Amino acid sequence: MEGLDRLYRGDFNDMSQERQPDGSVIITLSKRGEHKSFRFRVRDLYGPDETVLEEEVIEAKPPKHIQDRMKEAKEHGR
Amino acid sequence: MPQDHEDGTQPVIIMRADMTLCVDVTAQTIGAIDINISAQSVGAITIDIEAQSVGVYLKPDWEVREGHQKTFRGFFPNQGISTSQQVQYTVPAGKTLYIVYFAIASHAADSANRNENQICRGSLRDVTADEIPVTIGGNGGAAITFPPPVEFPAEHIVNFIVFNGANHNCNIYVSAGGYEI
Repeated sequence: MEGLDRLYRGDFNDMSQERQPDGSVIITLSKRGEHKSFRFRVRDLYGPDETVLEEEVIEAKPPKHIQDRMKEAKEHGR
Repeated sequence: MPQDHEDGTQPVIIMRADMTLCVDVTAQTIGAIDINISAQSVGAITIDIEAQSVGVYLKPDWEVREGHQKTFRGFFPNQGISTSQQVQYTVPAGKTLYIVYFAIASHAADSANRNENQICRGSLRDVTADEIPVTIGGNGGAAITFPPPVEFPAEHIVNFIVFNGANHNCNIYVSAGGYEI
């Protein structure tokens, strides 16, 4: 429910919505500096029967092999 | 004029019916200058600053710097002829949403129709006030920026709408952005 709470608080910088064939909508919210996104699917968004069907938190980090290379590059620069 | 505060700040409060104000400030460093003006009309404000670096921001740019920016995007695949879709948002209590750009895009869902016209239309709609302050349209897409932002008050429902006006199914997109304070 944290994603929906953030939506109602306006606690995000970026929102995308993808309408699904069953009428539900997948919403993705992200906020600057947090390096994670809240992705959740809602039925009857803003309606009386609004229900969150599923939710996940996506870590916004580069793959480990890129993180390792960035770490190496930083060490080489010292 | 009031006395200096212990921390060295110098409050200046002026209340007059009609005035011309000249202020000269000399200092090695200035932490902040905070000027609040309340007047029915102001003839001109001229500020001359001699400093090695000064940041001056337009309001939307400043709000981005402060982390108040908002972007909205919607993707609606394979929409039928004369179908509209929207990104929905309700402005939180105590805040105001200012939109500074709005854009739509459309392309045929079926690759056989990619060379046809991809007519689309988009609207910004204040559902609560039942107003549509902006409508745009185009072939394949359209975009507009607003030097004076389009304002949506607290607790108003906002729809960012895109409409498929082509004579075939299309993938349609809508995006908008601004800031919320």
